[in-house]
Amino acid sequence: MKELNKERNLKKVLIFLGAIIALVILNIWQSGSFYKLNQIIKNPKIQVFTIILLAILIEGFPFILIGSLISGSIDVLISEEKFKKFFPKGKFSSAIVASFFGFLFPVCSCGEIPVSRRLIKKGIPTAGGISYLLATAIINPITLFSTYLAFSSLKIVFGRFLVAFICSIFIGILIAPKDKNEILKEYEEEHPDDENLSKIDRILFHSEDDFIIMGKYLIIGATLASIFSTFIPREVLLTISKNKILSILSMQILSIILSLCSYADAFVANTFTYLPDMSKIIFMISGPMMSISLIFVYFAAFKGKFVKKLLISVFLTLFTIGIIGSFIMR
Amino acid sequence: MKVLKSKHFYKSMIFLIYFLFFLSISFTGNFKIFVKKFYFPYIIIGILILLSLLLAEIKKLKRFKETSFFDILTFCIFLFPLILLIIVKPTTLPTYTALKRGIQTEFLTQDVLKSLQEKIEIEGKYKKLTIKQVLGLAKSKPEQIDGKDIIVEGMVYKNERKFMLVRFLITCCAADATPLGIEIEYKENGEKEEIRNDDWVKVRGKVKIENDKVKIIAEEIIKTELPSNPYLY
Repeated sequence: MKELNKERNLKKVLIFLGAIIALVILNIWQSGSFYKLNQIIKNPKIQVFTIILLAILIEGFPFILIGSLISGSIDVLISEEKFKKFFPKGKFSSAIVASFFGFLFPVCSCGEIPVSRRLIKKGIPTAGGISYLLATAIINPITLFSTYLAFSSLKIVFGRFLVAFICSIFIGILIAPKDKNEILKEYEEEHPDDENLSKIDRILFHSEDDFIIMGKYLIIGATLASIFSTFIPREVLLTISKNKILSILSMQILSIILSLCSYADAFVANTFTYLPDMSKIIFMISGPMMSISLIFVYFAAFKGKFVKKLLISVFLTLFTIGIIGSFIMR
Repeated sequence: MKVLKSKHFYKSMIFLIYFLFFLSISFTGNFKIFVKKFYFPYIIIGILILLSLLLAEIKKLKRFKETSFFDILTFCIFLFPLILLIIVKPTTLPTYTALKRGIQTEFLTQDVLKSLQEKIEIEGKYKKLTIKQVLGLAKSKPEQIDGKDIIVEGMVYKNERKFMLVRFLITCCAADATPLGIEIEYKENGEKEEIRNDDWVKVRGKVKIENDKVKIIAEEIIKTELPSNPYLY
């Protein structure tokens, strides 16, 4: 019943939007300035918006697909008992082990969401699942190596690793509920356990569901990220960065709206030459943990209440570590 | 048209259009407008996974399941970026982005130093360098480049005060593009074709380093076509 109402409301909104768009087109057509549309398309802002949107998607989709396939394989091939046997049961120990999983499956930020969802569903301690979710995009060989390439400084690489490690374990332990159902959003999965199907078909069916749901939210998130990236000049945030506290805060906001891949953000951070090192490190951790395109995918995979708790705690933890760190690291 | 009411039809269409899209950008090489070559293997893996998902979904077409409004909405969301791409037909990031992001006139990372060890092409008395190499040399070994004749290629950005040659450096994708720029000292010749913002040009001239700032005293600026690789890596 609730679903039906939601559908009806959404239909009304869409019909309303459609009517407005139709009116605008009719108006342009009547005023005889239809050729202006061509100028709008050629506008550099539209070009930039399209390029950035497509770039995030072309970069993100293969990783979501790989992540979905890994997730499907975990579900079909590895039994719950096996997982429970090999994975540490304690909150703390599971969070530590899971934060190093990035060395086993170095998937990018988009790919780790379906995998972590599946790991939690399979019954690994929730603290482990959360710390895997936060750590993998940063604590993996590719990201750490690209950070070294960008900065040529082991201090920055170690700083990035350490802050990400502390943050993911801390948040894993802090917000993990006992019951996994408080985290996982149930979405309709079709005949996942149909015994008549071959293992490959079952893996593919699981992957399909993951890809369609998370891909959809990646498109919405990437659209927002490219709107921000196109229209907000970076200087606005960089000029208020002179103050230590403001510089941490503005780097957190910048990383959220830019939605860069964790393999690339170090090269962008390196261009903020006048910022303290700690602000750059926070920029490189906040992005892979809570960029705007990821936030949408989080809402697709997990329950809203949990995602809100996760985002608030990541934001505050990074802010606190950033402030303390900027006084230690000079 | 029972098939149009099937949930699996819309899902298959999503896999099909994205399979074709990824296939076409990898065949035409157009993926380079958006992401670095490094991503090519991942795109191929993506294509293979999409194909398997498509085949698996087609198998399901036999079992009819009625589509809901949300399935069609999902289909439209997936369609949106591709329709935008077809209408806008983007070619490369314009200098508008450079302004928004702030043009970097100093730049040095380890891979710049590495690229300086590669063999440099020579055209007449001019050395062919990229903006990234010029900025790297100016910072690391200024004596090796100051006063030398070079050719550099890039996009024009000019206003009342400055004339700059700009090129985007990308690490993964266009979202992380960093604009690198060199100031050009050039007196425009009234008879020649006017050079505008976003035009691609080749600049021949002498490098001059003053107070750690590098610029090129241009002898000639020639308009060129958009290169096959518009970005630097």
